[in-house]
Amino acid sequence: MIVETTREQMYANASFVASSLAPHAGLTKEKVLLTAEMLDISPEMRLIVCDAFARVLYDSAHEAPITERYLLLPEIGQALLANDVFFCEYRDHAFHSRLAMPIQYNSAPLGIVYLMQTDRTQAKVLESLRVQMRGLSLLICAILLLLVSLFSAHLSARFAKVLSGIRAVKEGPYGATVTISGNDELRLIADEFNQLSKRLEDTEALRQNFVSDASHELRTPLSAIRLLTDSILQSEQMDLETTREFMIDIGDEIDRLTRIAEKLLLLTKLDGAKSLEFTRVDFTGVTKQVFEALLPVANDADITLKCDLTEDLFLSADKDGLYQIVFNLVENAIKYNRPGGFVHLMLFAREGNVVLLVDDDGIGIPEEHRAHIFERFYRVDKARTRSGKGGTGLGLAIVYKNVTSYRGTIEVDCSPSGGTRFTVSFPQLTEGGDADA
Amino acid sequence: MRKVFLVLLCLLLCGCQPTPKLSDSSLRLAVVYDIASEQMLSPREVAISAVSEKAMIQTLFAAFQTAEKSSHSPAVPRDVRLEQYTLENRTLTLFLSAKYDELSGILRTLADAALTHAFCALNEVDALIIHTPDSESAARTAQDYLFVIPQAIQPEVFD
Repeated sequence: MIVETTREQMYANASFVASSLAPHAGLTKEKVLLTAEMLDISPEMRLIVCDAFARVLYDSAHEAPITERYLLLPEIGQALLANDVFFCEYRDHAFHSRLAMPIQYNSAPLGIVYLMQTDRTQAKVLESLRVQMRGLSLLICAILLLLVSLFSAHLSARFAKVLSGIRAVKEGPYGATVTISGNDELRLIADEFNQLSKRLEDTEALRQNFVSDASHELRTPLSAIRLLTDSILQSEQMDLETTREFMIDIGDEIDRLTRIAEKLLLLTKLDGAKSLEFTRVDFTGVTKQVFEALLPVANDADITLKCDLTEDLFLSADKDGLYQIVFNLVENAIKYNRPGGFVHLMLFAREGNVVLLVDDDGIGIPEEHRAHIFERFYRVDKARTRSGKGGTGLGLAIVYKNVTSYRGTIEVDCSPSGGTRFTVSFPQLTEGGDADA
Repeated sequence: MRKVFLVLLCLLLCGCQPTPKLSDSSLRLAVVYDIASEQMLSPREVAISAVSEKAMIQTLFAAFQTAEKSSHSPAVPRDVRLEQYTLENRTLTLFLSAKYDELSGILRTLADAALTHAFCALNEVDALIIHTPDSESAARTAQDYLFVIPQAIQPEVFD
């Protein structure tokens, strides 16, 4: 900008001199002097006029003018070849501008106008601006450095919080949480960590409960066996009939232990299964098999077992697992029923799903227990454990595990007849072989 | 602009190095000038055999009639002859043939400047007069030709 302004100003002055001298066929000192006097030459400017031989005819310098000497500068050589030359440089705290312009008469070079200008005012402004910019830059850098340090410290502190939480979980009990303020990714990480920690805590609690329950369940039949064998051993005059009854009881307890062990093994297997291999299973056929297997049991217990099954309903599942689901539900319905009661088995398709209803008019499940009946070793009536009806407390847990493995759902409710209703739903397998999501 | 700087450098070196003497008969170094395409004098060193004063001057003059590079031109045209010379009162007068007068404008000034600077570098010469059949210049010294050049910066050329 400064250079452009200077250039325009110098061009105007040089053009004035050149155009004033151009109409004359020859350049003389007198003519040049007359023209130069018409020009207002400032102290910062120096005007030199040379003839076609680069001989100086006029020099506005008051001290040591170079009149009559030959000025062999490159820009003067260029100007004598009819080129305008301008350049500007900044040195010694000033702008030094040079302009050489040819004076021509009928396209022949008569001489040149050479203008030199030194601008210290603008240079001073520029220098001041540069100093201010430098100061401003340093200030901005300092502020940025401060902000970066603060931000870095703040970020480090937040990371340290997350890290301490991770270490707490690693070294101590699960469930440690961290509180991170803000609304950024670190906050999301902290939230995820808290959820993970909570889940670990829950899992650990479940594991401890499971171990405790399993120990208790295994110890109960063992204690019974111990009691019975001690009784036999300590009673010297026990008759054969009583001994036989005790031995039958021992056999029952051993059966019970065996069942618990088998079901625990099955649950462990289901827990550890990474990917089950599903096949196309005829759910109607499986339900019929269960019905036929348990019909004698129901008859013995004076319970009416009936079924309404829609034909040809297929699922993508494991056949044994599916059998176990139906078997456990129907067996429970028979087991926890009353003489003269009924168990109604229904299978039908609804909205892309296959629905199995197991309805009974038995003793029912109180509402407060329904949310827990799928937990391992959970019993509605703990007194039943030692009765003849007592199960292992693992049957419904196996049912639930299998149902969820097949992308199904299971609900327990009160049946219209006052008993219990289990509703199991699976995605139906279509003709093409794909199960609807 | 590099050449401009070279000119200054060579002129400076010229002032620092031992000045060739006409009476010596050994080989000497002298600075002569070509004209570069930018209408500038370009210095170069030549070795001259100073067996005699005449031979010395003739050899030095002849050096101006050749150019070192193809892009340069000789400061003095090849068809200009040195008819004779005189050296009186430390002023050397070169009598050149009429062809020298065909040089005009800045080329004439450059030729005059080149000869003046080269011959005035000799110890016995302070000024140079160039005489042709039609003209005779005033006695000029090296100080009459100014190479006062601003700091090295590439000039912006406008057509």
